[in-house]
Amino acid sequence: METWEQLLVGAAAILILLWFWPSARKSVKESPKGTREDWLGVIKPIGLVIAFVVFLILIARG
Amino acid sequence: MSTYNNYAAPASAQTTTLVTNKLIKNTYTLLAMTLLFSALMAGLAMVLNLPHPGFIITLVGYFGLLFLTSKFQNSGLGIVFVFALTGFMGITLGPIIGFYLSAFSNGSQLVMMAMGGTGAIFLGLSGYALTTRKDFSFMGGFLMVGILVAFLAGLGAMLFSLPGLSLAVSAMFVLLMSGLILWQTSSMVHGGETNYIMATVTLYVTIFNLFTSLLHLLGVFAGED
Repeated sequence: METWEQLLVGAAAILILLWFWPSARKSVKESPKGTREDWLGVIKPIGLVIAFVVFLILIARG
Repeated sequence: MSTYNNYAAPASAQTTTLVTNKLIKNTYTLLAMTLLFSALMAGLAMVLNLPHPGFIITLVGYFGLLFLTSKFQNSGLGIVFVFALTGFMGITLGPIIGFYLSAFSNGSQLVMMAMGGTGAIFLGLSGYALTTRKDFSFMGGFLMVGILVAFLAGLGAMLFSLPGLSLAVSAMFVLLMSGLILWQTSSMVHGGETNYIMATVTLYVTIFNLFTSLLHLLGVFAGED
């Protein structure tokens, strides 16, 4: 990567952070709080996704 | 009077169900069309051997078209811009797939497995959210911060050439996009999202990122020279 490209990407990272951080913080404050059951309802399917990705890698490695 | 009131509540609930079903139908129809168009553009980019536009142009193009799609989400122009956005993303994807096909002897297998894996994950998670009708709105803030952090980490990995960090970012994106599929689908079911164009854009982005992240993970762990 050329120096000017690196500087541009760095500037873009700062701009993106400045642009999205306030709405991200607001979203965290205003989102409803999940219960333990709610999070378990998320962890189960996500756990299956992780197992599936590991399975894909093992199959691809033969 | 009481007869009128007895019929008012079920009619209102029925209207809400009809509106939700119409939203879901329109979203998945538009998603299917944009995915096909994106695949066509990716194929065209590969056949014409187009080079990757570069990170800066990709960023500008993506955020610019996303802004326009969001601005015109309630008019016909929104559909034009959503096709422009997905077509553009397809053009950026073509050279990436071309790279994997040429860099690895099992490149075609990796691409097929990433594609199949993306489809299976999307179908499974969407089906889970639609059938259980669980409310995943509590994840909104967590996902937004997570995606921002992962995106900035990805920029850092590129800037400082850190392949390990890049791999970790891909793994993070698989998890975050899975969460986003649950969140967006639940949002449509429970009335949090009422615009099928914006719902389509979010789901398209999850599929795109899932595919590229899976491809990266498979390339690193199972790619053969």
